[in-house]
Amino acid sequence: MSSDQTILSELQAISPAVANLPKTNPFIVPLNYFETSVSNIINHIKEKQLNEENDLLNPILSIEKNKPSFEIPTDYFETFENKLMNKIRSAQSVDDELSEIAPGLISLRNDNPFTVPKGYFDSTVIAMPGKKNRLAKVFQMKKMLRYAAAACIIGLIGFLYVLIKADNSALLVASSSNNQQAEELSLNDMVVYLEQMDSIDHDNDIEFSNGDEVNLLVDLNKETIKELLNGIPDKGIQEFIENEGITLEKTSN
Amino acid sequence: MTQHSSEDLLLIEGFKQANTKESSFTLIVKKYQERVYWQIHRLVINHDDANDVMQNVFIKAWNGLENFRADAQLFTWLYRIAVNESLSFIEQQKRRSSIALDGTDLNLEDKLQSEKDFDPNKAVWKLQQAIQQLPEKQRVVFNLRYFDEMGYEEMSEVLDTSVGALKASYHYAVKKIEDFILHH
Repeated sequence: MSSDQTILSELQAISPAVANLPKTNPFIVPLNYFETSVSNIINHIKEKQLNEENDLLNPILSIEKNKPSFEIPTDYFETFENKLMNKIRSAQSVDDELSEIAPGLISLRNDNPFTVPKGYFDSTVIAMPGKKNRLAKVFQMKKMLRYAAAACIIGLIGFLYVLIKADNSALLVASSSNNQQAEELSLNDMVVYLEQMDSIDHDNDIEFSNGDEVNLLVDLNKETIKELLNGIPDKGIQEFIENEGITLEKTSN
Repeated sequence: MTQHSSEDLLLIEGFKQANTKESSFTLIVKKYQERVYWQIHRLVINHDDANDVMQNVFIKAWNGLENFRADAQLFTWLYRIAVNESLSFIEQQKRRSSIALDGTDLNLEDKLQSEKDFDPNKAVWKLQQAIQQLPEKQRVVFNLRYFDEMGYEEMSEVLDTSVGALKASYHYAVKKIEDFILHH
């Protein structure tokens, strides 16, 4: 606390009018108020503690709170201190009170008879409020197969079209290139080429004649010729001979 | 760190012991109740209201004294609770009653005028009327300095405000009171 003189000097410096005001307390308090207020305060504290304990024991009753009343009995403050201290002493913790009422319940308080499946809390998914779980879009297989088949057919047609077009263009390219090459060839080149091709053919004939000639030629003996000519009239044969200028050899038979 | 009186230290230690808890607290209440009460009464004006607030102050002290640390004086700590509780009470009252458009609380003025022996012609009551015109913070500062003769350093701990700001508040408060008294 500052000294009274310091405060008064300060006040004089700020406002002499205020400093000169009488520093009297105009308020009054009830008689013996401060003598009994200690008891009141302690009583109030204990009452509050008891209420809190009752609230814990029975939350429904806590709705109806006791309202403080300013009407007190005549000798309330004279006897209040003793009453208050008695209440303070009687104030107990929840466990103490329970131990008197039902000691068996204390040990049971922390025993939880209920169980949850193992790992339940680890696997529990909490749905966030305001967010809907989005489902994946479901495609039907039948519909998908139809699309797939259509795509295959279109693909196949396209592939064939490209293939055919590629062949045609290749042939066109080939033929056009052949014509161009033929135009570029001289007459002598062509003659040389044909002679070479002819000799190749003859070589093949030689090889061919050198091969199995018996198998390729028909064995024309007299009997076979007779059979072949049997169905042809003599007149027809005579005409063919005359036309071809064939000379016949006379046989002894 | 503020120095505790040896008596306060004994009372605090006694409160922390189970067997001396109640007796120590009773002594604390007996020692400081009047000063706490008047501080509250000057703010809330009405005795019944002051009584309610004081009970709440000491209930809070009962609940908090167990963990009370020696970084403030016991009385400063009680004053701080008392000021906060008083201002909270006034706020609750304001919500319930009508408030004047100029920001002054007519309810406190009404309460003052309904006090027994109230006489607006007497200087002491005029001073009280002038105090009720002050803004809340200036009212608290003036009461602590003028009536409780509290030093600025201690007041700084109670109100958690700088000494300079408190000096300025007190100066403005005195000037406003002077103006009120001279013109009413």
